[in-house]
Amino acid sequence: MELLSNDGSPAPRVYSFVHKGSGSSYFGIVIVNMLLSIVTLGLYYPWAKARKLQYLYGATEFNDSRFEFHGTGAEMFKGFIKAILLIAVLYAMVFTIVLMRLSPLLLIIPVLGFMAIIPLAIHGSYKYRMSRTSWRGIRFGYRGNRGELFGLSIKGLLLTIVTLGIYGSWFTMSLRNYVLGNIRFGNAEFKYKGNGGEFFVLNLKGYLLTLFTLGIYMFWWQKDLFAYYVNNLSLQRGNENIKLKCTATGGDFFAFTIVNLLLVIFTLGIALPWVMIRTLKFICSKIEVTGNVNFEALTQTEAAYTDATGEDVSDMLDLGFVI
Amino acid sequence: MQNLQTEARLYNGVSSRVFIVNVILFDDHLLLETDEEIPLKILLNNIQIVHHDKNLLSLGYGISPRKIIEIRNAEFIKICFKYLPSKSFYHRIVNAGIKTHAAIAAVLISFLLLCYFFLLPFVAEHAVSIMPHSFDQKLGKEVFDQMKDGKHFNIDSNVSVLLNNYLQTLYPQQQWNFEVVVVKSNQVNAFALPDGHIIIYSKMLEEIKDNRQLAGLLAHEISHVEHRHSMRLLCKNIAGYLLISAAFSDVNGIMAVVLDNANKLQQLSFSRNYEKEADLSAFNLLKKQQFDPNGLTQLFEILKKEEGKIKVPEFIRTHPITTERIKYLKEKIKSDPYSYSSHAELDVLFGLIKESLPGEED
Repeated sequence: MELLSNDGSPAPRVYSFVHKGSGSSYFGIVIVNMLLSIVTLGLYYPWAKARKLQYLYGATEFNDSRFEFHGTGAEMFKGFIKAILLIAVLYAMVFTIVLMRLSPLLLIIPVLGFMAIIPLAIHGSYKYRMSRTSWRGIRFGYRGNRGELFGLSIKGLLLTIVTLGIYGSWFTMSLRNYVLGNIRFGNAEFKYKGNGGEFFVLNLKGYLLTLFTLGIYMFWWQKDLFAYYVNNLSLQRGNENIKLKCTATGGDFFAFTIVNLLLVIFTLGIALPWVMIRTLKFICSKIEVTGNVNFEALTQTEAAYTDATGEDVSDMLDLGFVI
Repeated sequence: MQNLQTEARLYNGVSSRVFIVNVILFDDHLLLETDEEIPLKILLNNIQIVHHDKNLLSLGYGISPRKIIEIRNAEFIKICFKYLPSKSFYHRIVNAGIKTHAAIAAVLISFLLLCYFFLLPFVAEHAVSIMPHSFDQKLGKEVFDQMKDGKHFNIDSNVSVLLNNYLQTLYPQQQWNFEVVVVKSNQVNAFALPDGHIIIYSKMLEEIKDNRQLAGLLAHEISHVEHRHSMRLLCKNIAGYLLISAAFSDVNGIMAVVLDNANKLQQLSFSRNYEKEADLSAFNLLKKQQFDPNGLTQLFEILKKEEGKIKVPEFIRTHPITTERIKYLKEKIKSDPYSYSSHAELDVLFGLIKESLPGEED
């Protein structure tokens, strides 16, 4: 049933990638989440997050099959408790040092703690999220190494500080390449080939042109960023591979953002669930997936990982999920 | 009767290969007809709903490996869903449809609004009563120290001393340590800090022509301190922010700005209520000392003249419009008349104050 090309590997084709959620269904979930969160004075948050991700993942379809998020509120709650304790300990250190007027040099310890926490949180949250995500029953996985990520972060941070921020683009790309490159999808591997120099130029150009056009170029800058994140991502399995391509234009972003803005303003925020679904549909529709990976042949290789501490620390420190 | 059945896709949790199966619905189980000889029976109680919407029902069963069945037949989905062991209360609500959800949303919003406008102020106010006065002291002192270090804060110490004498004579029985500080400025204004510092700008003193007006001003500021208005406002503001962020934990940028401004508007109306409370309380204080309360209304006339110079729309002012204040004060005076005595000592002190003001107009 697969077309074959000359070397015997399957011929390239376009795979469907579409979001099938509905604003009204998602609204239902958001409202119930809100109700339960208020009634439980916020404690319901991990379960609310689980429900939300379950719906959104379950409504996203690739190659005619849906994704699945099977993280649970209980797992994220446990992680949440651990995350709170961890962060509380660090804050307690800071307060003790300040209030007891101990030597300010001691502040180095909690500061290092906070700095260390970020790569560790990224590691933990990718490990959790990826293993709790599956497609056709096949789990994703994150095979990164905590130590390597930590090393990469320290090096990147120091260089960024020393170069007064300029190295930031290279730092960001090195993190992205590492993290995304360690994501597995069954026995297929993701790869991201971002280049610090290209990223730097992209952002410099975007920033200057946006200033110059009093903000109008921003939508084109956004499109460039989105395209850079998408176009450099690929999936490989043996000699088969998948490439992603961004098919959005700056104009698309402009129209899309303006409509979202109007929706939110004129409904005083009530339309937010519809905005979220719109956004996911937009993103999926602007990513073209082509390649020759045989998606009937992925095998289950990734382990289940249920420790959500990293995920929750990332939440609390407000780290976005995708760097 | 023939049982409902449909074609579905099965994933066996070992590879991503699609198996096409036939699913037949029974009262308490599903029968899966696969390529194998024997059909598989799965109890509905052992099935987990992975995803459900109008066009897709995703079911999971088994452990290690967990298998998934994807059903896309809308009619089958509708009926099968009813048979699946019910779903928690949660599932029933979430699938209850847009009308129920809109109703829940309306209830939630009304509840939040009620809390914000009624419950919150009530709780915040009572929270203040369990806070020790030392809080007010500390807060006021911090603010005063910061102001003192500021650039345009020139204290006129001579006039300040005179005013302190005046205040001690006017209001000897104090619970708070009041201290008047006169600052050289062209603004006609005065305000009180929670620790008892009363800052009066020199231009205000120049505009005051009468002993009774000064008494009214001091009475008003004293009332602010005694009623702990700063602490109460602070508590209400914090509580307001907490409620908003708790309810909208996933707020994006636009909503944050909208809500922030809504909170600010609400703060303004609180402080206007406090001004009114201070005005009426000042009246009582003057009454106790048997001072002529008309000094207070005259003070407002002075303010009104100053205000005439700048137009500030009603809804963003922190003080109720002065005409309003004059009105409710006059009503209070009419409804609660009392006799006043003369205050010779204070008249003398007032004279001294006016004399010591640099470059005043007569």
